[in-house]
Amino acid sequence: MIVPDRKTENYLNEPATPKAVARLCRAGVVAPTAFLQAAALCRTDGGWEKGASVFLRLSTALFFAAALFFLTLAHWDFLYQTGGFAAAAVLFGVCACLRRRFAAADYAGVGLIVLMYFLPDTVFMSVASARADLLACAVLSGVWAVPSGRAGVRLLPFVLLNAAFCLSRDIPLFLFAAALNAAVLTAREFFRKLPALSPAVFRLFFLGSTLAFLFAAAADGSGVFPFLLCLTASAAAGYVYTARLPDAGSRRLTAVFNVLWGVLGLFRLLNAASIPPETARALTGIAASALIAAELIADRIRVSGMKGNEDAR
Amino acid sequence: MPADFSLRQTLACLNVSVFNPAVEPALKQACRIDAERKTAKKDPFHGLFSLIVLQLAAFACFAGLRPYALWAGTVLTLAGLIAAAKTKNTAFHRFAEVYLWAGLMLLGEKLFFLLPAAVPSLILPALLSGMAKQSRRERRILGSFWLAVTVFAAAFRLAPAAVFPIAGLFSLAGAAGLLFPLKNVFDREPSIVFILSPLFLKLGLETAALTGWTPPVSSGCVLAAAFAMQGVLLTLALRKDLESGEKALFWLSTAALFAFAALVSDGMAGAIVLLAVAYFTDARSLGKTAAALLIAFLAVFILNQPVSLSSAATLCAVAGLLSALLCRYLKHRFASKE
Repeated sequence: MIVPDRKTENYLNEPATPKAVARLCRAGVVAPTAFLQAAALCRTDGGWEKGASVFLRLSTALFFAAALFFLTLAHWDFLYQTGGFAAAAVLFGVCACLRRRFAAADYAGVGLIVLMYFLPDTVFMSVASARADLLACAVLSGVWAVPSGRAGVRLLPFVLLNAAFCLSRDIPLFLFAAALNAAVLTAREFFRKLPALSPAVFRLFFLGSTLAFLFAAAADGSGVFPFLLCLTASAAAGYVYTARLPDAGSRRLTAVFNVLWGVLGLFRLLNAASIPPETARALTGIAASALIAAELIADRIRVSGMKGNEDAR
Repeated sequence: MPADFSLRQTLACLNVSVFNPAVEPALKQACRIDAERKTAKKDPFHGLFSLIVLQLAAFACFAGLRPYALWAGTVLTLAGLIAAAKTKNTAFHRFAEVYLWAGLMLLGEKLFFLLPAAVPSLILPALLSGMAKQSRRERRILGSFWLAVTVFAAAFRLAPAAVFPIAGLFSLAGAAGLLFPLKNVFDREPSIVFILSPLFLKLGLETAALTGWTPPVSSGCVLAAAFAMQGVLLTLALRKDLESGEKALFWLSTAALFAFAALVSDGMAGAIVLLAVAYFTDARSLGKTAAALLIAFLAVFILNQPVSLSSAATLCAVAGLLSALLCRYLKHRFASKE
């Protein structure tokens, strides 16, 4: 060849990456022993430097958190004494002063609220309801979270509130919790009433909590009514988030619950029909695989269709 | 390095002339491989996530049908093969593949309990055929994964003492595949699976040992030697670019790595070598996995030590301090480079 043809010319003008160089080796253009030499020419060290920095910061935080955890476990009885309470209170004060600058102080504040609230019950062996304690912690951490600019800290009171609801195995309470989460979600999505909950993580959390409580109510309750009610509610939620708001994360979360609903529904039907356990297990396995595959295939086709429309524009 | 360094410039630096008639067929082949790769990426099911979810779907079917393994496996395999071969619709093809894999898993498990070595022997030709063509990416990923799983399972069943030597061979094969890409051998995915599988095996065994369970076999110095050999391979691959002082440093590092692996933790040593291989081949995902494995091995090592909670807290604090100092040092180094 005197000069490369147009196709080869365009290919050679593409940016070099180590993967592209590996393909040249596999085609026989570059010798295998020269691969690392070629990769060094086109490796972007910036990405590795950034990655190393993130990794080292994360590992530092993890190791110090683990050290604190082991230290607390080793000297747990210290917390039972007056000195322990005082230390926790002083630490809480320090966190309050440093919370604007350090995220760790902001999150640690919530942890200390829960610790200081639960300690007296543990120390004095009082018969307090864990649910009531968690509700109180949710309120107190809500007060702590109001001035915080961090979405994670603002999310924690809702996590504690939902944890309080989880502790009861009362179906009406599960339905109430689902309704509460759905109401907050609706206010956030449709009426824009809650700007403090605007980060995307809140949408996923409230949607996930709504669906989880509905699922728990259906799984726990006996009879057809709770199951049908929850199935309808879940299908409605799924419709809203797939048809009205095509958000990929919410869609996938709804897909997970659709699979769980389908498997639960079949499980209930098979139990009602008095089918041998092995056959029931086989049918459940086949249904679960069909649902998982169908949800993924539908999602992939939708994403591919959306990408195709974007490219056409 | 300029961000728009092209393939042409890279080849020029390596003294490969694109106008050389001897290079022409290889260049055209490279062009074809690249075009195939770009076409494959347009497939909506190209990503690893899709493959994992579809395998989970197949596993759900397998778990349900295990009591009827033989006839269900045969029916599903035949039906899946016919449906996947006949249909032109991508969605239905994928759906049929799920049941094909479920059928193969059922038959594979039945065969494994009769003749453990037969299953990896049947998977190997499928994997090798996948390595012959660029487009058979899924076959490579699934073939290498199931080969590793079945080989280790068969080794545990038939000859537990051979598990770690086999793991060492896998590790070396993976490193060699990543460092020296051979002509017409599309082995990137199998190399990644092979280099990772011994580390995950070791991590699994060490984590299980935390519960008090005693593993049937110990790695001894076998894995340590394998990871040291990986260091040797890396040094050999870099030999043209290293000066004498740097070569000596690399050989010393390899020896230190072997000593560390043999005396302290071979898992941590393996993760460190993997990180080095990932850096030099610019495999970022592999680098992140290596970093996560390093943390995991360190955590398991600390938890395995017969020390008090206070000593464990001290160890973690020291590790955190070292990490913070290294972070600071690297920050200064990167800042001074700019």
